[in-house]
Amino acid sequence: MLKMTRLHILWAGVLLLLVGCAGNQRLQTRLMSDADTNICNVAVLPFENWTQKSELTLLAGRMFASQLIQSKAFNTVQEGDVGMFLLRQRLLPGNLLYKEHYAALENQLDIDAVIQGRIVEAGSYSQRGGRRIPLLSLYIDMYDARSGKLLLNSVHQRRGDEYRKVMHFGVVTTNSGLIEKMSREIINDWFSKGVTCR
Amino acid sequence: MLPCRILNKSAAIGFGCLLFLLFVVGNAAAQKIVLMPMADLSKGENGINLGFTKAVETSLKQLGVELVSRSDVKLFMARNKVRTYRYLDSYLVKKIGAEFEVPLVVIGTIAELQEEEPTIGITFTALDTTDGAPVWAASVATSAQEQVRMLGIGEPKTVIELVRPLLKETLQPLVKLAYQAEASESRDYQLLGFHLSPGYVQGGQVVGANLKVKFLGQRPTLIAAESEAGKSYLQYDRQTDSYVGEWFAPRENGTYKVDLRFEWGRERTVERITSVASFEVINRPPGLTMEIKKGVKIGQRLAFRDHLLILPRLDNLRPMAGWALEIKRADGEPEVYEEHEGDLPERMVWEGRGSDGAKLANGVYDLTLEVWDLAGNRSSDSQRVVLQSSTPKVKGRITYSGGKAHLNLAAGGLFEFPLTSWQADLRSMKGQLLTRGEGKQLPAQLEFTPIAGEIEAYLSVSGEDLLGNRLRITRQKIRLVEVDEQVEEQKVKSWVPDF
Repeated sequence: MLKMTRLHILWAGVLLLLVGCAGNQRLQTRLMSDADTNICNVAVLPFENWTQKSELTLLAGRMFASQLIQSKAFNTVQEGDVGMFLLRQRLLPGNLLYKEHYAALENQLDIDAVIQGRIVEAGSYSQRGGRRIPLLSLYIDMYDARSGKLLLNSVHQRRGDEYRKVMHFGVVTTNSGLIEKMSREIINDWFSKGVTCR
Repeated sequence: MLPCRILNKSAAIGFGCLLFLLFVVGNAAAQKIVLMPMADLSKGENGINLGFTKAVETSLKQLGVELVSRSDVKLFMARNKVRTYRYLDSYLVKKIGAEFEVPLVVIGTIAELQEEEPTIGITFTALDTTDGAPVWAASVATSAQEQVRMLGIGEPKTVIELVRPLLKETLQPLVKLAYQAEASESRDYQLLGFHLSPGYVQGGQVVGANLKVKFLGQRPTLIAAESEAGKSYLQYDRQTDSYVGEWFAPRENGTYKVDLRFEWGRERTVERITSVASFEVINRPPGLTMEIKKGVKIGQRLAFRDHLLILPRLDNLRPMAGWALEIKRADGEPEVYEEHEGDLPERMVWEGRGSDGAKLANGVYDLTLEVWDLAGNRSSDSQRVVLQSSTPKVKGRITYSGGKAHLNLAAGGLFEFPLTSWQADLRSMKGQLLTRGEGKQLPAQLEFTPIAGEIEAYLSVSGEDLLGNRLRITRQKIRLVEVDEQVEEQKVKSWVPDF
């Protein structure tokens, strides 16, 4: 009887481990059926922030752009060029872009796609020992710069302790670290769906 | 050029934020790079952290990378009004490259910083000064909680202690890039604005151009604005530091795209930027018609007593510059003038009031609506309407002839349409009915026998005109001696919304 119980506990442990490592269920990328996935030049617009944590706006935009450059899969337009474009067009972060804006973006920055991101949820919770674990939800849209049509949409949510390896190792305790990891996961998901420069 | 760029179709041309590469001439390799002061988002959007900048400088120097002095970089930032890296565009990156002869500009951002519980998030981006594009990026994010050591030995107590070991590792790839990179001499320009005024013109009118452009190095010999209307050279205006010019718009309707043409050197090497701006020639007036509703057609005349609904219609849908509504009396005296910028409203309501908000007198009015487009083409429509917001006044007079007394009723005051029906009765001071009558037209005469000794009587009149205005006078005193008496209409208290 005791032997059976131990076996059950062992199986339950294995099952928990498998569920824990069962992949990233909260990352969903929806690709439009007619999307042209050959994307080489991209511009990242300033992120929109739907949360109370205003400091995350620039942080998220810079971290995501940094991951795009690090991926070496796209030519990312420099942030200053995007900033100057928005200034000339008198556009604020989160402003709706019209067809003429996309046409001007494509013409002036020579891009294939425009990335618009927003932080939809940001928070943290305490763990034992007073450790704060961040929690974030990101929403990323990619638009075709030629037509202004939506190419893909990614929704991702993560907590810092989801990256735990053993004991405290691997736990992400910073917002920037969490955005960095989430951005990398989103970009890798795009690659797996064939979104890359060919 | 740096090795890790993806060059595809037109990206190879290096067109970014209206920056155009004209000549790129490679020269000797240089390892010196520019490290911009570290932006610190924890201090706000324009925050700078010089302590961290020093830490990064030290790490880079230890890795063998030569840096342009910080004071020179700060001087450049001040001269070029660089307050935030959000607007440090390709032009400025190339300018840094040209000024300091460096192949790379490194921008660092402290995205997150907490001193009490050491936490930090940093990103680095290296920009190629040949075209201003990012060629390398790295990020570090950690906290003291993530760097727990065995028995707490050597645990970082400050953010600098936390990040220093990670900096070298993060910045290592930059060394290779700095060695591989080559500084280049480039002649570029940054188009700050090209403004045509007016943007909408009639054929043959003058179009003015104002170009604001910055050049890295030598200015072109000539700058021209070119469209289907022809080529027009722009003159440099030292006062405004811009190029200005003008030309006549073509006669034909249409949109005319304007290209910029830079002519460089004696050979007049031409560089063209297409479709920088456009202007539109419109010769046709907007085609305005005015439909008026809620009025009553009486013969050939359109009359109303309460309000009119004015529905403007345009035969083409293009943005309008402004519109005006004028209401004049038939004798030409203006009563209302409203002028507004922008498009016409879908509908307007006129409640028969003047500019001061007071109800206008009964009479004939001319309504004129005028609209003008952005090119100055005007179109207008007029309609004559009749306002009658009150019935004609009724005048009562007692006359005597042949030993009989007569009550004479006649219409008075300002009116366009008479009463269509009326009823009147005259009673003695004690309430005895002296006479009663009704009819459809005025004047009318009613015979009665006065009561001896009474010098006054009560007259009551009611009626209605063609537009439905109602007259109601009750127990109005009238002298039985032979004098004219105008019977005042009793005002009806009512609420009428403002025009």
